[in-house]
Amino acid sequence: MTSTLSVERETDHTIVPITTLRTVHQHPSGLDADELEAFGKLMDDLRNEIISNRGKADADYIHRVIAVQRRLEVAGRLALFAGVFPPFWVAGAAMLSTAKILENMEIGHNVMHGQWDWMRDPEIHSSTWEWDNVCPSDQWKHSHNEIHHTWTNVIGRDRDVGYGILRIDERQPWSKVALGQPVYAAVLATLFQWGVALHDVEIEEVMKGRKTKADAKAQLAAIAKKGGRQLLKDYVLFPAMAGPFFLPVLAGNLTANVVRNLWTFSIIFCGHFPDGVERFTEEDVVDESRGGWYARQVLGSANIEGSKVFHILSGNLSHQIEHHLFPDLPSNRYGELAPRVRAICEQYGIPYNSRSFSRQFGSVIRRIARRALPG
Amino acid sequence: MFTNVLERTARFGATLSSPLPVDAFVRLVDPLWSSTVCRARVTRIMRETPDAASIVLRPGRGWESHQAGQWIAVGVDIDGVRHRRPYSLTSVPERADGCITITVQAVPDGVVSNFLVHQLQVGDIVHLDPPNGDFTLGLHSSSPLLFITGGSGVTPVMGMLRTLDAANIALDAVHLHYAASPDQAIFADELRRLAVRHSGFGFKFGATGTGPIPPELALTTRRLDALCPDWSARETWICGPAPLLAAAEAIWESAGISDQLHSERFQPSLTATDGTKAGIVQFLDSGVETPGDGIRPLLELAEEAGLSPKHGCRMGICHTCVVRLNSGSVLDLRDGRIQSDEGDFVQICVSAPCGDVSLEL
Ligand SMILES: Cc1cc2nc3c(=O)[nH]c(=O)nc-3n(C[C@H](O)[C@H](O)[C@H](O)COP(=O)(O)OP(=O)(O)OC[C@H]3O[C@@H](n4cnc5c(N)ncnc54)[C@H](O)[C@@H]3O)c2cc1C
Ligand code: FES
Repeated sequence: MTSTLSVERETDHTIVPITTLRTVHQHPSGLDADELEAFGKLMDDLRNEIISNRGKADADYIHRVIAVQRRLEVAGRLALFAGVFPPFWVAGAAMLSTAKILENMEIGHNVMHGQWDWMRDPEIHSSTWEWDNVCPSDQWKHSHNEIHHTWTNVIGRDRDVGYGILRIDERQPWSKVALGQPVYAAVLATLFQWGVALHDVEIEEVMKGRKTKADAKAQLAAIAKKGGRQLLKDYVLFPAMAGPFFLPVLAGNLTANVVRNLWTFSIIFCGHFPDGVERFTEEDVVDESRGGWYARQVLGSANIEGSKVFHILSGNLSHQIEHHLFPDLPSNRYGELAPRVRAICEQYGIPYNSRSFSRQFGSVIRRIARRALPG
Repeated sequence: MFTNVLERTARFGATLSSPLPVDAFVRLVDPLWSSTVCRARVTRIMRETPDAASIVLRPGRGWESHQAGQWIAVGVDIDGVRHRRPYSLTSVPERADGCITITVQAVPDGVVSNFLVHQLQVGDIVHLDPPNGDFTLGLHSSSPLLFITGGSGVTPVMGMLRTLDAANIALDAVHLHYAASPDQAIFADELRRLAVRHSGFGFKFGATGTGPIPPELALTTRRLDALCPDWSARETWICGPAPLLAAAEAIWESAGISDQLHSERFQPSLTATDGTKAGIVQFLDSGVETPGDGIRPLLELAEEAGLSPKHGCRMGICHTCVVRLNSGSVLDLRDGRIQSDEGDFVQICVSAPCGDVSLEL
């Protein structure tokens, strides 16, 4: 695999194969094996510390978030029934949008990571949770938990690098198709849940003959079934229950789904594609140690600074670095880990990328626009 | 016609609440309103002895009635973690108030029993699994009966006696009950009162003290002959500590009437990790066994044994490989944590077996 590596980097206007730039097996963090091991040990210690003291307060937290989310959803839908009165419509759409955001981010995403499996509650468990997103959870767990979290930001392996339609690294080949990517990005953001679902079907793998058509078809059928239910619920049944006020309810539900899409797109893109976040080649991860894997998670992720409510609404993915280091620790603990992780990273000279939402998002937008052009 | 409407309403509701079950929302109003899982609210707690309590539970929707002598698995969240343990029902089936009762004796260092006896509050919610077990009277309600119980082993028998009493059945029964001391003897007063009301019911109590049973109290044929001369003509139910059960089984066996002895054990099978961690790994669903050395992860062992368990990262981050533990202990190779509860979810890619283990895989 490494011998046929086609990734190249431009230096001094000459294209040189990346293999000659780095001695094989040198870790992208620049740390040697011993330093990586020591770094990994410190990260393991943090992980063990949280595992040994997670308990009732954490369980209460997720139970509370779930209860608030469900109440918001019910209240939002009820308010939308009175949506002919603008204040009700605005309140209803806002509550339903918030509920959908909480459900996908702080609850669904994190439960499916196994963050709450330790509670041994079969109803809040990674093996049983189904989220309000057209991407079926088993497909999501494969593409996200297995592929993305294992191969974080490895070009050619992590399919979340540009979601297969956006060119975000200069090492990804350019073609004229890329010129339209600001538009593709806007469409992807608006329809993000559908983008995520279709992304998992890996059409390109089917075309390359590495995945069977039957597998892809079965996945598409599952998406159609789940998506169909969401469409039926949000755009037919709930509006129909409002009788003559069909339209305000439909508009409110549409708004909530789109707001949730835009929000999740923004948070997720801020997690891996702002300036300063590194992407890697397959060579970088050959024989990677546990410490090396940890260090790569830090290099390949970026945090967003914000208020407590902002962190919760982002599903604590605003602590993307901590989430990538410890994907199965309860999300409510990332905040307290962040300063400690940062201090250790500074000690080892590993860049720790943390800025405000506007700065991270601005740099993502600029990157998408810049990479539409060659180079 | 009516069921049709019900079914359609249910389906309509399920679509409205999807992908969550309707229960997820109904529960916001009352946690007991659930048709998928059975929960119960604690309505009363009665102290029986310094370290035993009877707990009255009002089960919500989904509760099925039980037979006297059966047990239920009770699930409680302790420090955020769900624990399940079996407890015998001490109440009469289908009580008029719809409630059920369990009676719990706190055992030293016991996680669940101490929580139930000392920390549980009226109003708390617990999880229930349907009643289970064949330690019941069956067709023997009006046969001559003998009960032998030790410690908290009195609970299923209390359930049976209360049920017979409530049904106004004229008892022909002898009950030998052992406990460490008179004030540790759960239900002793109630059983004495029962003996006063039923001339055909004889109740005898023995205080064994703590530690090994004094020889004069040990269960032997001679002692049985003295306490209940026609013991061999009685259908017998025994529940208590392992030595008591072992003694009875030997006696009934040598009398050639083992089929008259019905026994129940409370002690869960604990596979201790005694330094030697090698053992046999059983993959129950696939019917495969393979030796484990206590060092290599279960996922590797399973693969070598020809299975292909679902997995992803093989390094403990994606949780694709999680399977349920049936018995035994496993060691998390990352941090040395041990999991040993039945029903624990194990990440097999980073867990090694400690001794004999069986997994639902
Ligand atoms: C079918 C069935 C019915 C049962 N019915 C009842 C009942 O009606 N009332 C009741 O109080 N218990 C009953 N039990 C026992 C109960 O399920 C628990 O095992 C017991 O409460 C101890 O759980 P724990 O979590 O407190 O102890 P754990 O934390 O699991 O164990 C802690 C320590 O206690 C020891 N231990 C475990 N069980 C016992 C025991 N029974 N006696 C003494 N030491 C023990 C263990 O070896 C261990 O060292 C029943 C068990 C079974 C299998
Ligand atoms: S395979 Fe990833 S956690 Fe086990």
